Amino acid sequence: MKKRKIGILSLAVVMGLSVFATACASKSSGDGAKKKSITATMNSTFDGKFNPALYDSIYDAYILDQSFASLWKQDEKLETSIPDLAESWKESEKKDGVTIKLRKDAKWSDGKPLTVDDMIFTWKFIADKEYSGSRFEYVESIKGAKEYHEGKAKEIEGIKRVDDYNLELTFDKSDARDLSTKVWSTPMPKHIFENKPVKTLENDPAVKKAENIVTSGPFTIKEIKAGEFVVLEKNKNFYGAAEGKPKLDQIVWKVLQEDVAIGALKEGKVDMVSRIKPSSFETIKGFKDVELVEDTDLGYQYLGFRTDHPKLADKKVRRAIAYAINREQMVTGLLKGHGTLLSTPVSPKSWAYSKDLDADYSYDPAKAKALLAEAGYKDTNGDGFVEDPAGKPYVLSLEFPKGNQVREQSAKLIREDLEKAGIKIDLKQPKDFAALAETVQQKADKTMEMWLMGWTTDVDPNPKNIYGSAAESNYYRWKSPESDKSISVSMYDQKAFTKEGRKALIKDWTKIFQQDSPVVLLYSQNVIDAYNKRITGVQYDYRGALGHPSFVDWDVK
Amino acid sequence: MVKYITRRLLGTIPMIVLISIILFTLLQLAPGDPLAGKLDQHADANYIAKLKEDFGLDKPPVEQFFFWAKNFVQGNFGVSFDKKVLVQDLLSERIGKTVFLGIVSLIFTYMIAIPLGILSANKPYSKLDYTLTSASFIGFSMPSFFAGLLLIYLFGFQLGWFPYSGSETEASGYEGLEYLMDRLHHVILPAMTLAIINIAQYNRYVRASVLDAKAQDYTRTARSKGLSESKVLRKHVLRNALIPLVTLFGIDLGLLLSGAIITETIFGFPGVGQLYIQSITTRDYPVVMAITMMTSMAVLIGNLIADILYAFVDPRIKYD
Repeated sequence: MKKRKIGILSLAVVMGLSVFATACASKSSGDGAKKKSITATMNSTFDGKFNPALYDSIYDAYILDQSFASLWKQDEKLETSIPDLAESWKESEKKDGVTIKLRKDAKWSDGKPLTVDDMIFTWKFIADKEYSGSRFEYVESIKGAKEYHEGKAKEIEGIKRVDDYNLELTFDKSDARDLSTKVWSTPMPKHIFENKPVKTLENDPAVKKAENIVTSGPFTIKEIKAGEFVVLEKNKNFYGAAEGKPKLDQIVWKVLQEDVAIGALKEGKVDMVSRIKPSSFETIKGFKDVELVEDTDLGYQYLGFRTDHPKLADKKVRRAIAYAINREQMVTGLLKGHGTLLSTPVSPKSWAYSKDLDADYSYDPAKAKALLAEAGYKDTNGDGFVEDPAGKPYVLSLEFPKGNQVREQSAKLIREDLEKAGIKIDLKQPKDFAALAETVQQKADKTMEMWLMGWTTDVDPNPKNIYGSAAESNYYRWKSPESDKSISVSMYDQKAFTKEGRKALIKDWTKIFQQDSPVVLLYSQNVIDAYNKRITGVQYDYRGALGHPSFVDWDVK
Repeated sequence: MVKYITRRLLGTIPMIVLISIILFTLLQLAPGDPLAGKLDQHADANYIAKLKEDFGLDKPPVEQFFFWAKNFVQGNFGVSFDKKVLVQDLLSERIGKTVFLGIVSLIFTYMIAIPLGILSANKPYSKLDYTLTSASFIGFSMPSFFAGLLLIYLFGFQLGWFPYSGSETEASGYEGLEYLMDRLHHVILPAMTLAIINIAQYNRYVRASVLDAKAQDYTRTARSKGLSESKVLRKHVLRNALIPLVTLFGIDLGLLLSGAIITETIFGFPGVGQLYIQSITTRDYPVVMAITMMTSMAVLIGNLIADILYAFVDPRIKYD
């Protein structure tokens, strides 16, 4: 008898609690009505390392973009030209130094003034031998940074502090690249991190705990729940606060799987979904009160060749493959138009992009066949596929990673196109990204021939990191002294110190790249963001809507 | 009893050692490099070499294993390769939520599955029984991502009774009881999603074992003594019929910690399952090791608890 009572009692308690919980929650929904708040979603969870020098995940970057200010920002042409913490700056004519003047009204969110000392501290932090992040490259150009990094110097020689708000930087050498790649521009608060161990800073509350994170941007971090949400609150000490910026009081970032996020957007429960899959575009288009915006992303997808593999060592074969692939079909068919055809590694968005280079990079199966024949690849046994110059069967393998639907589908299209041109393709089963990346990166690997992967590109058009012979990322093992020389000229030659001059030099390199085809550039997928029309003042570009510098002017109806 | 428990606990040690060796070997053999995902165009060779050294990946696997085992025994689960923070910090943020989700879903399961199973068994091969059987098959074959999305659509969006995601309200400022209620309110839909498949399964077990107990000699004896049907059911049938459920309960206890990968992902519920799947994709071995070891240990202990419970529910079983 007793047991039964307990059973009924527990049932009653649970039921009661559920009802109570429902009542409670519905009561509270009116609380935040006065605040101007929006809810945005991210597809996957953030790491929670909210420090500009330490983060790794793009989801952490979403939060950091809105909570940390930088010296400068890029415009829609990918040029560093918009002032942020720096009121003004001037590069020397020979591009071997820069003077920077900070704005005097910039403060940290705890009220302490932001000065050149914070910036200098950050550069030294990143150059520290113990520093565990990957951003030393952005400080390396400063004269003496390498010596400091190796422990040979106590100070970085090229940094000269003039006063609290002025400083002068000297670079290692004259260097035509964009300032953003030579100078790390997001400061960390010196007064918070000064006496903390550099090596294990990831575990420090000042990086992880909302109440300990001190920011310099339009928002501060108010609440963090791992794997669930981050609440950003208007930073009252932000330098724009005097002009009423940002206009929003609060941004809630929720971790939400895309299907659920789109449902919630339709129901008006969230205000913004960013980085939407092209396949979801049509669904969202039908939603009432929802606006869709898109622009070309800075990254791109490519078909890579092991250029040292005997089967692919002839550049005529690689060129033939480039001509044989109908890339247009990927953009119109797979991406449903939400992407851009690419013919140079320089983004079409960039000031350095030369449109006329597209001409020699189009779909031309007849030319592909002619090039193959010229290289000695002919169909000698009449099976419809070419044999190699020695008359042996010629089969190329193609590998690709799981996870990106469009890329997976594009592998099949590539096989069809290449087999139409007479090249037999052995399309492998897709692998986990981490597994495929491991093989792609292995310097001793002899098994791979062709693979599909993507690059996220920099603001600066310099190709050295991705296509230089000595680059760690040169998975195609493309060794071209001609290309290396051309890259070097476009970085250091005097002709490169003017914009037009550099653009012409980069065009010269791009021609070498197209002729040699270490990869076939496929397409650049669009950044697609969707938001509720109650948000006003939204502008967007290659960074999407939330990454656009204008988000401080967003308001809600 | 104490002796039995001690013996069993000691017996789990070789099991745990064996599990850890197998697990470590499997992870070593699996294709994929924990640092592969880290590479972008800015990661130069020096940086990669430094990371390898920091994580101990430059040492031979056997040495790596002993290093890991030594730390694990001391309660130090290491540093996440992917996030570079302490694994125990990552877990402690999430484990409470996962256990909470698990317990609520178990309560749902038992509260719904046992009565349904008994109902079915009371009138076997009736319309009610067939209906419940069909419903169970539907519930059992429904993938949890579908069940989850269905519940979100119905109760989260259409009716608006429950939150459609997360484990608590953002920036709510709730404290004390109000906070607890908010948490409970959020956990109901994911817990129900998890419970659906269990209910479908458990009510089958209950039905079968109640039917079985009803056909036993002692039930016939009880009936022929002239006891009322409800008393027969309560005192003689149920007590015996629920013994097999204890085994399931033991396994459930163990799985409380493992989290629910799909359900947690769909509901944006930040539990261990969400972390687990993320760590597998990024080959974050220290986190994968820690979660798998924790789950294995919990299952072993859950089984032990089940065995001990047998002695209470079934007087015939004695441990000496």
